[in-house]
Amino acid sequence: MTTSAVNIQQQRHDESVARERRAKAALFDCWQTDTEIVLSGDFPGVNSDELSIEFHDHVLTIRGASDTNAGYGKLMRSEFDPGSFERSFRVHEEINSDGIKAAYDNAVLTVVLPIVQPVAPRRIPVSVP
Amino acid sequence: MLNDNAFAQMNRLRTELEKVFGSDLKNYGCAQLHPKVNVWEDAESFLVEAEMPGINFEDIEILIVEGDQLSIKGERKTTEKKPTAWIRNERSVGKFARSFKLSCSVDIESVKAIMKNGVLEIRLPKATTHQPRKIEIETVQ
Repeated sequence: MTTSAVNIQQQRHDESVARERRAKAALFDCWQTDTEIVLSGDFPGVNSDELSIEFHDHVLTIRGASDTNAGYGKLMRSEFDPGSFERSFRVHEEINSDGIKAAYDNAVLTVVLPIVQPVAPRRIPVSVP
Repeated sequence: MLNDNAFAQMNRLRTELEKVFGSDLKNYGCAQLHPKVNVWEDAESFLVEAEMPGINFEDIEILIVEGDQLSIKGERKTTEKKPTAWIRNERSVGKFARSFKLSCSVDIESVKAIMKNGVLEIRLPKATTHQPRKIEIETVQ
């Protein structure tokens, strides 16, 4: 499977990428079936009401903000920074945007993008007078 | 971005390595998950927070060893769905273990842990001998 064949790739050349560099890039698994594309991402520390999902012009953008314990005391070890997450994906398939569904469980966001199914060709019978 | 060809090459490499190292490699490969941790300290306690999205709290084990060593072990289990057409696979699964030596002993009976939005928070009050004690000043008449 090549990048072009999977019909989805991370959007790298627009303004959202500049924001993504400032925000943390959430880690995602993505897979595709004949009928849908599924994205599953980690958003540790993010409340469901602090998540936003947009789908516009074939680009899915997911943002979130996490709480911080800053002010508790002295930070002795720092391996992650609480703050904002952002990730954008360009989807090449035609998506039924009204049918997009998202679920959030234990800091894992799952977004399901239903692929618009091509209309099967209809055979027109020729009537003989 | 890695494409299918790159994944196929990695799988072939892994298969060849397993032929040489046998099951030892499989056991080693399980420890690929490395949750990120922040440790805070104030005068009375430590606060340890670890990113653990998608990990059930019943799959996490927290141990205090010798009063001042914190060990967090667990496992992020594979989702039941096994996609046949991966586009992107960035989220690790498997077992993990992190250990930390704290700067002083803690009151083991008072340690509390909560899981909040995929972040494990462990509050470890310092043993009373290590907590600041206010000394009253006696006045001499």
